[in-house]
Amino acid sequence: MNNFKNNLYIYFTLVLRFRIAIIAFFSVIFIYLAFTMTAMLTHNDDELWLQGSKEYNKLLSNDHALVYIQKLQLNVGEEAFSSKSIDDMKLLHSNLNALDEVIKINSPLTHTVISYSDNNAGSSLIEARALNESTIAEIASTLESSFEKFSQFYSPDKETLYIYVFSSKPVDFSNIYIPFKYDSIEVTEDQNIFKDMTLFAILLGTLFVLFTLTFRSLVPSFLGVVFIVFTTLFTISVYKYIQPDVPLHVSILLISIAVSIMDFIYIYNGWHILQASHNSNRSIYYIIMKTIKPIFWTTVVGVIGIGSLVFEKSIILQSIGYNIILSAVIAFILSFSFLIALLSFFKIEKPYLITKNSSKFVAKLEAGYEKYLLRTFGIVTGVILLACILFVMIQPASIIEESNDEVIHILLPLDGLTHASLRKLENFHHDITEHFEEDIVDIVSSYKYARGFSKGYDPSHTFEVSKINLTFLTFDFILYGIIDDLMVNDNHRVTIYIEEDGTDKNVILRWIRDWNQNNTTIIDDANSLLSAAKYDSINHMIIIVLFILCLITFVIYYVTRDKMFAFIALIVNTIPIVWFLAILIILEISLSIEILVAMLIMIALSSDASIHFLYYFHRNLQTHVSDEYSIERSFIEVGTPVGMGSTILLITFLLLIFANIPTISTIGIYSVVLIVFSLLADLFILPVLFIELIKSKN
Amino acid sequence: MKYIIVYLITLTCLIASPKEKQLVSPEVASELLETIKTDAIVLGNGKIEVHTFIDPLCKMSQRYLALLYKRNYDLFSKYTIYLYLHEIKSKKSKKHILSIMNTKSSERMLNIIMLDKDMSQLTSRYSGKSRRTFQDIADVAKKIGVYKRPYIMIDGKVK
Repeated sequence: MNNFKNNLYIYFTLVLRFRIAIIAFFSVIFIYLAFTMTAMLTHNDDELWLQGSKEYNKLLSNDHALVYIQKLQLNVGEEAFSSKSIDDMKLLHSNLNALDEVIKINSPLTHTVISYSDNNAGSSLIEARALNESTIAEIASTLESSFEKFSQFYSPDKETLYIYVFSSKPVDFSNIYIPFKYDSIEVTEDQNIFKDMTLFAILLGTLFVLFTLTFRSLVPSFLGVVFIVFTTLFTISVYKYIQPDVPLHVSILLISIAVSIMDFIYIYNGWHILQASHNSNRSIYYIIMKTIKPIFWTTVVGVIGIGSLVFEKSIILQSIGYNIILSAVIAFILSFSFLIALLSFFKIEKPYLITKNSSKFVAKLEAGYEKYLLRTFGIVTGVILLACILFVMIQPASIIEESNDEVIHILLPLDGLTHASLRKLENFHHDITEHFEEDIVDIVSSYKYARGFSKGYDPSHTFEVSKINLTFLTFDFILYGIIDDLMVNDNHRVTIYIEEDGTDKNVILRWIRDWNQNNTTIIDDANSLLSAAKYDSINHMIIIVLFILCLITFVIYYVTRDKMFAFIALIVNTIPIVWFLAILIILEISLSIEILVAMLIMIALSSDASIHFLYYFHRNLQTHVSDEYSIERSFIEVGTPVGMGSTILLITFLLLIFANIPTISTIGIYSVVLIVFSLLADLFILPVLFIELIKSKN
Repeated sequence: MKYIIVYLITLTCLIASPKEKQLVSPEVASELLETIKTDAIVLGNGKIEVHTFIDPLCKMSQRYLALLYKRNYDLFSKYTIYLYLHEIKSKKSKKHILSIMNTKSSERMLNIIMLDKDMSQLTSRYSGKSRRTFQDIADVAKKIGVYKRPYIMIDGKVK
C-alpha cells in the first residue's frame, strides 16, 4: 500500500512539475485536431443499423438494390370517391412520379386487378388492369362498386386513403405538393451542423450552470467545459482514425461524453471538498489517491463491458463499443494528467458544499431505516423479477420490438416462371395465410396473378398450379406490364401488406425468415431490413447486459475481497432493471434495441456509482464507527457527484427526446426512466443494504 | 303452351351449356393457322408465335392492340404476333377489314381505324385478293371455333 502511495506521490509531483508542459502538449494536439477535423456527425442511424447486419449483407451479396417503402396516410374526408378526391389523387401520382427516386406507387389507381370484360356480343377480354388509365367517372364507379378489391387502401370509415410509395431513397414529402391533409413522415436528415452545435451548446450551457450553482464557483464550470471539449474532440478524432468510413452518430457521441464526464465530476468534487481542510496541492494529491482506483475500475467495466460491442457485426453496435472505450480511456488519461495539471492553478477559498445538510439529513434517515421496509422491498422486487421471467417464458413474442410499418417486400430466389416456382409460392401463400390469417391484407406475387388469370380463363375448373399454361402466363405478365413488379430475373418478388393493428411485423418477418429452410429469402425493403437487424441484435444485447452485471460483481469482489459487497453490487444494479422491466410489461411496451441500449447506458452509469459508493463505504468502514457518519461521508463524497452526473445525463437524454430523431428520442426516454431508477437505487437502497451488511457482521 | 315450355327449356339448355373454346386439337389448329399466316398483320419478330383473331371495331380488340404497342419494347423481341382480321357479325366491320386488307400498309391502316378511330380513309372498292383473304380467315376461324375477339392462341391453344 505504501509502495502504491509512494508511486502516486512521485506521479503527483511529476505532474505538478511539468504541468505547463502537459497543458501545452494536450492543447497543441487539441488545436491541431480542431483545425484538421473533417468528421461529420450523422443523425440518421438507419444506415448504421443496416451495415453489417445479416439480412442486409445477404441483399448486397445478391446484388439487389434496397427499396424504401413509405406509407402516406391522406385525409380524403367524407367523400372519398368524389371527382375532386380522385382528381387530387391523380395529381399526387403525377407529382410523385416526377421524382427520380420513386420506383412505383401502390394506390387505388395503380393496384392491378384481374377483370373480365364481356359485352355479350363476341367481345371479351380477361385483363390485369389498373384504374389510372380510366376516366374519373369510371374510377369513381369502380371504387364504389368493387370496394372490397381496394379496401386495403382505405380506413374502415373510408376517410383515410393509404398510398404506398416505393423508392430508391427516402422521399421527403415536404418537398412536393400533396393535395390532401396528411400525417407527415419525417425523413431523418443525415447531417445538420446547426442541430449538432445547438445540442452541444445546450449540453455545455447546462453543465456550466449546474456546476456554478452546485459549487458557487466558476472554476468547475470553466474546467468542466474544457474537459468535455477536449474529451469530445480526442474521441471523435481517434474514432475517425479507427473507422474512417463510418459516420459517427450524434447520440453515440453524446452518450460516450456523458459517461466520461463522471470522471471529471468525481475528481473535481473530491478536490473541492478537500480544500476545506487542505491546501490546493495537497487536495490534489489526496484526490488522486482516493479516486484513481474506483475510476480505474469503472473505466475497466466500461471498456470491457460495453466495449465488447466492438466484436458485434452490426456497425452501430461496434460504433457504441468503440466510442465508449475511447471516451472512457481518454477521459481517464485526461483526468489524471491534464485535469490535475489544470487544477493545480486554482484554489477554492471556503469551498461551498450544496449537499452538506441534505447528506446529513438523508444519512440520518437511512441509518435509522426500518428493517421490515427493506425486507418488503426485497420480497416485492424478487416477486417482480420472477413474474418478469415467467412472463417472458410464457409469451416470448411479446418481448420483441414492435414495428409499425405495414409492408414486407421480399425476393424468393427461384428458377423463373415455372410450375415448381409457382408451387413454392403457393405453399408460401398457404402457410403465411394459415399462420397470420387475420393479419395479412394482401400478398402480391406471381402466384396471385397466375391464379387470377387461370380462374378468369376457366372459372368452372378447380385451380391447380400444374395446369397453368406458363407460356400464356408469361405473355400476360408482359402484356399487362406486371412482370417487373413480380419478378427480378428468375427471382420472384413478394409484397406482403399487413393489417394496421394486427400482429407485430417482426413476428411475421421472423416467420418468413424461418419459413425458407434454405435461408435464401432476400428481404429488400429498408424498414423490414432495419427491423431484422435490430431483432438479430437483441439476443447479443441481453447477453452483454448480463455480462456487465457479472463484471461489476467481479470487480467489486476483486476490490473489496468481500462476497457480500459483490452481492450488494449485483442487487443494486439489478433492481433498476427489474422495476423497469415490470413497467414495460405493465404498459405492454415490447423490448426493443433502443431499450437495450438505454439499459447498457444505465448499467454503465450505475456501475460507476456502485463502484464509487462501495469503495468509499469500504474505506469509511475502517475509519468511522457510526453508520450514520459513514453514510454521510459517502453521500458527500459520492452522492453529490452521482446526483450531479445523473442530473446532467438526465438533461442530455431529455434533449435527445426532443432531438426529433425517432430511435434516439426513444433511447432518451428509456434512459431518463432508467437513470432515475438507478439514482434511487444508488442513493436509497445501496446505503441501507450496506448498513444491513455491517449489522449482520457485528 | 307445351311447345313454349319445350322451347324455353331447350333455349335455357343452350344458353347454360359452356361454350366450346376450341373445336379442333392444338395440332390441327396450328396446321390451320399455318395456311393463313401470310394473310396476317405481323408485329414483332420474336421466337414465340402468338396468333390473335381481332375485329377492328371490337373495343376489347382495340384495347388489346393498344396494349401490344404499349409493351412493344418487351413484347416484340420475344414474340411474333399474327393479327387476323375476323368480323364479329354484330359489329358490321367487313368494310373496315377489307379496307385494311386492301392497302399496301395494312398495319398503318389498322392503327388508323383501331387506335385513332379515324374512318375517313375507308374505301368501298376492294380487290379480289382482299375478299379471298377475308374469306380464308373466316373459314379457318370457323373450323377452329373462334367465338370471341380477341381470340388469342399460342402453340395451337386458345387462352
